[in-house]
Amino acid sequence: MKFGMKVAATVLVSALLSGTAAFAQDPVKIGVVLPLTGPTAGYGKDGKMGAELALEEINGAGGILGGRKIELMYDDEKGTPQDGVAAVQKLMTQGRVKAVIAGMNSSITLAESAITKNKVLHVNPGAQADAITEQGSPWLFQVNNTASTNSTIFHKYLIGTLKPKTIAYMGENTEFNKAVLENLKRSLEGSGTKLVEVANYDASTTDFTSIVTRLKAANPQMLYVVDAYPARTAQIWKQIRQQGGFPMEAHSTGTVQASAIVPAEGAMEGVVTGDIFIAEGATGEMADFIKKFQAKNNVDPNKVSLVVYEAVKLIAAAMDKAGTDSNYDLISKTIRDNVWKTPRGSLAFDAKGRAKAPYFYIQVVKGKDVALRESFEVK
Amino acid sequence: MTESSIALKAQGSRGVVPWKQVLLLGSVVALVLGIGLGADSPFLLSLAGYTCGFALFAVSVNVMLGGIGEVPLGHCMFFGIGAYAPAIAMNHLGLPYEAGILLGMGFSAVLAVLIGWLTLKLTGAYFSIVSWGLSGVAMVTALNLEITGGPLGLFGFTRLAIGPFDLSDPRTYFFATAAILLLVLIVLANVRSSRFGNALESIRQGRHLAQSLGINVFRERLKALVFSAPIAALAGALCIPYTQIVTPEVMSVLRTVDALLAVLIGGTGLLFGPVIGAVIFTILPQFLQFDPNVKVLVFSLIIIFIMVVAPGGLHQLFKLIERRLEKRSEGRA
Repeated sequence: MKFGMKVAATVLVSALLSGTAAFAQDPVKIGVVLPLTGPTAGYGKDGKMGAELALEEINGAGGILGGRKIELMYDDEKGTPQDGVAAVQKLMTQGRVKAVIAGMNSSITLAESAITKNKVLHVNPGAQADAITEQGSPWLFQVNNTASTNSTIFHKYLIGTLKPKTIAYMGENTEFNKAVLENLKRSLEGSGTKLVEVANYDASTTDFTSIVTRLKAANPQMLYVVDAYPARTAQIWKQIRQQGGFPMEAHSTGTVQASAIVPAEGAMEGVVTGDIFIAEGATGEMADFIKKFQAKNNVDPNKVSLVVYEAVKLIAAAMDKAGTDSNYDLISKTIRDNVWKTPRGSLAFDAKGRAKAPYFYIQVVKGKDVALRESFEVK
Repeated sequence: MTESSIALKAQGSRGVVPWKQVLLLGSVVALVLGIGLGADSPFLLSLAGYTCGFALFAVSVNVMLGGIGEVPLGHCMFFGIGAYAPAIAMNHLGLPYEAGILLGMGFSAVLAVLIGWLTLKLTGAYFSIVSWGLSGVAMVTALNLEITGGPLGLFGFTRLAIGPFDLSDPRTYFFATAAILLLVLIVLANVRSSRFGNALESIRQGRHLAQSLGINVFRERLKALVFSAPIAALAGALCIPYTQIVTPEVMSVLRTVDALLAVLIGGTGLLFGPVIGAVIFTILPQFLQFDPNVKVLVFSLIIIFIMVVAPGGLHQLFKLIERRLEKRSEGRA
């Protein structure tokens, strides 16, 4: 009888052990919400390639938390808040993901962050509005710079280094444009540069000739365009070029990618912009990242690919270091208390969950990509 | 069955319990309870709640499309006003959500009087285009005003509840929106069989004939718009607990187009046709497990298929079943 009990107990214990062992090998699911269809589907495609590279690297190196693989579950935010919310909720409840990566468009990210708040770890890779991290969500982190951080550096360069006497400004009527324009006006205070003309247009505009004519009439030394949509950016610059262009030309930071430069067919040549990422002249970790990305996808990575790649890497590394996939207080504390190695260099997060890029690059459009003009270390 | 025999039948049934309606209502309530208590996933429940809100908007659009035969492209404006009113009330005026809903409904009704007075002399494509233009004006206004939060919109709502019912809980949200939708449908059913409903039907079939019979066509059409606008506003307000943010996009004409599609899929002829359409329109795409681009393709093909096999809307299938059942019971008798 006693022997029988012993056997039974052994069987039971081993069953339990093998049960926990099987549990430990369950993959850690991470939800990735991207615009896979709709007007910004290009960003979704770039982001997905970045995420897949990170997945391959993490699982190739043996996974996290003692050998658990990670698994990425994608969903489509289609470019509207209600679809973003549906995607996040579906991943959280149906997919049972342990973390959510979501954030390309600011309004959509705000809606999504209301769903993830106090429920799950949320990393916003791309959206830039300051309001997102202003809300005080303890488990929300942002990999990209905020619009105001980028603009402050860029405007300092435009006004302080290029020193135009007059600037004319045009931009789409969005939150991004509003924030950039306010920042520009603040940066202009006390400088020798004057803002002579401002033109806003709405999303459905396709003909910019009348706007450009009006701006030309003010005869500014510099034209500054603020637009985040690649196809329209190409169109605007083509029409500017048709009318002869301006002595100095600048485009908003973080928004000039090959997807705008190539369709512009040379019309953007020489336009000054800035970003947290540049492929040209990359060394060390960044060169490695670019090489691996090219080998896997046959195309060059861009900023969107990079920030989504970093978001996946950050979540995996923080969970591994914290030793948990679901104690979000601990994971968030780990993210805030450590410095994270990324292709860009060391990335640290402040109390609001904002990352500051270690470097900021002033770039100029050259051929089919941007070339480096100057780089700044961000303090 | 001729029109007069329907009228006779209706007269005959006066004072008798309308068993068919009671049965329909009972089964709908059972369906709502079944979904509300049976479904466990917060995702499904809140999606079902949002679907009820969207269905309410489709129902409101159908008051115009099925009611007087106009395509109200600008109806998204009333939806948007309904969404912005509680958001502004909560974030700027310190008023509760419920008060905001009522304000939005009231404001949209007043606006409908003004707009209707200006536009309802027009018919067909002219009315559609002018109403679309007005919704564009509303969207640009929302984009540029300080009180609407500009392009980023309004967000960060602290309390989304109707009385003791907290709409941030998915189950409560579903029950509340389903109950409101049902209530509106019952009201509409009564309106349809009223004098006003008959007047609308006669205008839809032939406005000149209706006018010759002494019906004030302009006034009845205006009444239809003023009646449908607060329903659209209510729908807008009920979508906030789901979307969590109100942006100028809520006034996008694409929203009206979605609702029009839902109405056409479900069928304009039946009161709950738009509800069927809304369910198919919001819930079905979530369960098509394909690549997003393939999903758009498949969903579009499904819509085309439905329009080909049931051009009057899916409710035709219900009518077909109903006729079969009636025939069988007649056969037995």
